[in-house]
Amino acid sequence: MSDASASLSAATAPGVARTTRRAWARPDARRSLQLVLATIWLIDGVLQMQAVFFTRTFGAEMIAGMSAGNPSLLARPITWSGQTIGHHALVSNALFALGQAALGLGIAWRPTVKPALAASIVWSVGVWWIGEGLGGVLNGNADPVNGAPGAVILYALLAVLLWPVDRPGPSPAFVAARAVGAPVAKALWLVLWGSLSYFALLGQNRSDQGLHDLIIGQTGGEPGWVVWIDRHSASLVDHHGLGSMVVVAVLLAVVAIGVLLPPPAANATLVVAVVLALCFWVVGQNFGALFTNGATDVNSGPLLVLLAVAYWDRSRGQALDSVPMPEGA
Amino acid sequence: MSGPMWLDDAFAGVMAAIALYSLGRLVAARVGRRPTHLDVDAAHVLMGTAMAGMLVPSLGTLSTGVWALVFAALAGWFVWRCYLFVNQHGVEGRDEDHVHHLSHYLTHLVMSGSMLYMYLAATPVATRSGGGTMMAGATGTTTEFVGLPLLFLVVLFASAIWELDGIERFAPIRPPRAPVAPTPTPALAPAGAGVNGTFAGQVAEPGEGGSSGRRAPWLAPRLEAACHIVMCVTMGYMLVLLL
Repeated sequence: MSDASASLSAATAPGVARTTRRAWARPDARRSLQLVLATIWLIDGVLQMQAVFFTRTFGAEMIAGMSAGNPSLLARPITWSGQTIGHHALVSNALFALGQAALGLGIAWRPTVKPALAASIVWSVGVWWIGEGLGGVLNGNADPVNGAPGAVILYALLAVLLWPVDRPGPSPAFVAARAVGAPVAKALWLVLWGSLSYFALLGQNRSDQGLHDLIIGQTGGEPGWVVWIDRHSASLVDHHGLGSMVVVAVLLAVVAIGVLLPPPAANATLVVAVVLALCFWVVGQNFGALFTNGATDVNSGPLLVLLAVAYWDRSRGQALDSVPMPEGA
Repeated sequence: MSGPMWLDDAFAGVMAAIALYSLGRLVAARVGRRPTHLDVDAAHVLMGTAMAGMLVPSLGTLSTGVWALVFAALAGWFVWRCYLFVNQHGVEGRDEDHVHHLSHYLTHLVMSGSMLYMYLAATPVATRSGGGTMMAGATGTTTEFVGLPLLFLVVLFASAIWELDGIERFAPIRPPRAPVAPTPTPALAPAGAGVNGTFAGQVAEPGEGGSSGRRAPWLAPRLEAACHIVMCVTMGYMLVLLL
């Protein structure tokens, strides 16, 4: 960790000679976000250890099913991979589970943070294609409410934005700009949230019952209180799907261009982004379907929140480098 | 549990090993008069033993009711420790090892609560072998409280990740090779402790530590942290199966 270890806190006891090794430094803002990302990876790894994923169904049906609607050039590898994984369910899923847990632990352990982040990018892109069918982006099924453009690609984006190097020059106003620079970081934000706005108005998402059916269709296997939330949310948008999604699309567009606004306004749109992400996560994603014994990840809600925090403009406060973050347990 | 048998067996083996190691820590601390977190080590012994028994029934030792009482008592103990800590050091203060915060005890409180939840929520089903109780997923009214294990899960994994990030705090601080001052005999220096028991992240207070050598070195703090990380991950795995 270049940023963490750069600020050497000489934490030696009185009388002890100057150290020959770098002292441990508290996590700064970026390191803290990396640790949150690592926590999510670890959760994903353990979710992958659920019994259902060690069966043939996971590969042959869940993964192979992702090929539907995708161009054949992209769909064939998905189908082949799904069948192969299904035939070697035990070994392949053990590798998936251990791999994701290792990514989380690798990001958390400072000597391996760079290799782990790099591996997470490769892993995410591969899983986005094979495991999520590119998040429905190419088959017209993408809907930001239920996780488009695919949660796993957000891991890759976060790994890039939280890469532990600093560009030369003055300290940027927000964490996401430290590795890639403010212009690139803002462009990535604009593309992500702009695409979410576009997906909100795609095909079925525009229909009067589209949003209602999406919410109701995900109640299977959920505990009663989640079903209660879903039913009441669905009743609010019953026969108002188009109007609701237009509002969502406009809000997403505002969030997208918000990053180009002056800091106070930009931060206000980040708050909107967090609220939207949480609404999607609770209503459209049912907390990532974590309670159904069939979730492989936490879905996009928490990752969008993490992204928004990485873009929080602190230019009116202390410089990012000098903000001490609380230690863990 | 309701996970793959080989995975349950593997986790159970690791838990049994951690329970034994933590028991060894308690003995070593007593015999060698070395400072350690006695209550945390004792909690690791209990949790490791209990989790091994939940994962593999043949390793079961006590009945579900007894274990529930044990972990209720342990949770009460860590509530008391949190109260004492805040009274002595404040919310943002540090422990007597100058590294751990209030979160150290809060995390163990959550771990105790998680164990209690697992014993109360999990449904006893037919045993795989032996006389122990095998735990299956939560049923009935307990399924309505799945938000609680999710909260436990997030806290445990966040704790594991932050502990791993900070594990270098316990790396020994070594003096330069040039002879500056007399140092303790290397053979007697414990794993994880530096000169006079100083760690990289340790904050010395005026008039303590240093070359006076008054304090015995802390007992293998990196191994204690590693045990904590593995235990959090295993407990998280068990909670996922109960979601």
